[in-house]
Amino acid sequence: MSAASQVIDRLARQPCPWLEQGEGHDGIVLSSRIRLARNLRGHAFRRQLDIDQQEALVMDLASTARTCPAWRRPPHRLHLEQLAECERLVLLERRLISRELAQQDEPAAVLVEPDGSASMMINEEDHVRLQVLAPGLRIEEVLARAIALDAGLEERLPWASDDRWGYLTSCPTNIGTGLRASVMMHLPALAETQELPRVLRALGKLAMTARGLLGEGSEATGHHYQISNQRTLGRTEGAIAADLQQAVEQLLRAEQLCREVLLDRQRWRLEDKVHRAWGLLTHARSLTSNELVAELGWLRLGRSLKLIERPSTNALDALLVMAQPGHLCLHHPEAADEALRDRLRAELVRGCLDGNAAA
Amino acid sequence: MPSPQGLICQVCNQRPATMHLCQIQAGAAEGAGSKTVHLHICGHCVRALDLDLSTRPPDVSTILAANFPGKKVPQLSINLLPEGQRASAAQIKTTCPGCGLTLAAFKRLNRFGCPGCLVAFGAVIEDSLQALHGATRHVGRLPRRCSSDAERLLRERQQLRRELDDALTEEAFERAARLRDQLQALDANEAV
Repeated sequence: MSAASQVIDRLARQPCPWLEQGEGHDGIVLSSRIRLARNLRGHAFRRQLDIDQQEALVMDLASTARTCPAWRRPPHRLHLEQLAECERLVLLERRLISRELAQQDEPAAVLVEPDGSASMMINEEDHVRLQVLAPGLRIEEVLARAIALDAGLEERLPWASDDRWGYLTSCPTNIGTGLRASVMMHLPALAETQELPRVLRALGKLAMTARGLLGEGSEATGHHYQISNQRTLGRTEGAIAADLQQAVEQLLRAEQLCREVLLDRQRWRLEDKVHRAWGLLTHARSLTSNELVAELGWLRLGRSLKLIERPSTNALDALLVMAQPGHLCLHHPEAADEALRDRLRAELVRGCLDGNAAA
Repeated sequence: MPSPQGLICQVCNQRPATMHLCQIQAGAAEGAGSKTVHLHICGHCVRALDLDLSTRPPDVSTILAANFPGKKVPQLSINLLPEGQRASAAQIKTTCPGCGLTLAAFKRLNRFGCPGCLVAFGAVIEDSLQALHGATRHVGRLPRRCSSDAERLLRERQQLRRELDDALTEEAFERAARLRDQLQALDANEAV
């Protein structure tokens, strides 16, 4: 196994540091994330560079950024062209790289904190995309860590910036702070009570948006939503974080209220959804990825509302990631086609949930 | 005094120049065989060079000597037109002097070509940026100036890599091996 493959294998067996948590916020707020976009002064973006120039840029950035002392431990350095498709998927499923980087042919690299809590993508849409993740609602803490990493990097790398326009990025939607702050939330009660469209529209007034589990272009399977800021120019980093905190707290209260209402008036309906999910997941012989995420969402709700005592939240968190296509493929390379993977997934889930029977 | 529209800063060669510094050489009056030195410069470079323009006129020849020692001051550049052709006012605002991306191409792709594009097009696309962000001025963090050691190291690394590519192309493998060792030594020295 190559060194890169060993790194991926180790990462894939770890619990996800941005999910493992206590029972804070009733399992409604799953994780927080900060992303900073940065570019090297005097260098054009990917589209305007030939392959040789991009390769040189990737090597220089990876070598230099690795020496930044703000990493908790020396980061792994992975060049995407050395990784198989399922290895790239593992990184995507752990939210260490974007879908764009996972699919791009141009030279690219990623530096990964060994505990999987932070990463730095190199030569995606911007030269550098730094991100930090944490479980639960910890926007300020994650922002502080991202800024510390950035401050360490800026001593070694001359970032392109302008007094008026701030950090200069490839896409106009990222200029200024280059900051995308987001929180992953689980909002099944708002969805069930038909309140969700209204609430999501209200987010627009706070200049926030909602997207699915894996960010841009993904669906909100299992009622999981990523709430993030729309605007990056004209507000300080602290103010953007505070705005997001406010939006999340509003959504949190709305979801908690809807859950109380549902429990009060239609407890049977919730119990039915939760127990159907349990039935399907403990008995199905074939499960698609989407089915799993959707049904895990109901189990998570059931646990939060104490409608069921099993499985543990840790088991739910583990399944959410381990049963994804990349992770499955990595540990079962013989599962070449989707149908076989769906059967393996079902087997994995049954094994995990049966093991939780006494929880 | 403010620079005329469309001129690029002679120090960074990237941002639009906002200030025109000029100085008649000491002891001589203009028009009587004296020399006037000019420098068109942007606000960012004024800060980067720590120029204090508020108290008295700057000593332009000292600035030039310090920043372009023994070399000619970079030519004033407006855009990528061949020498001798003057750009129209419209053209000045619609092509990035850094990478050559046109405003039309930017609007089609909705992506800039290099960090200089936004500075070049900013005034023209201000309205759409206002609509997107509700603001047209940055108020957050800005990078501290990268240390000169770090910039030097980065340039050294880039230079070594260029030389390694050349050596490989020429099949000068011994030289390539030496360059590769030098690059690895740089990495090792900097390893955490």
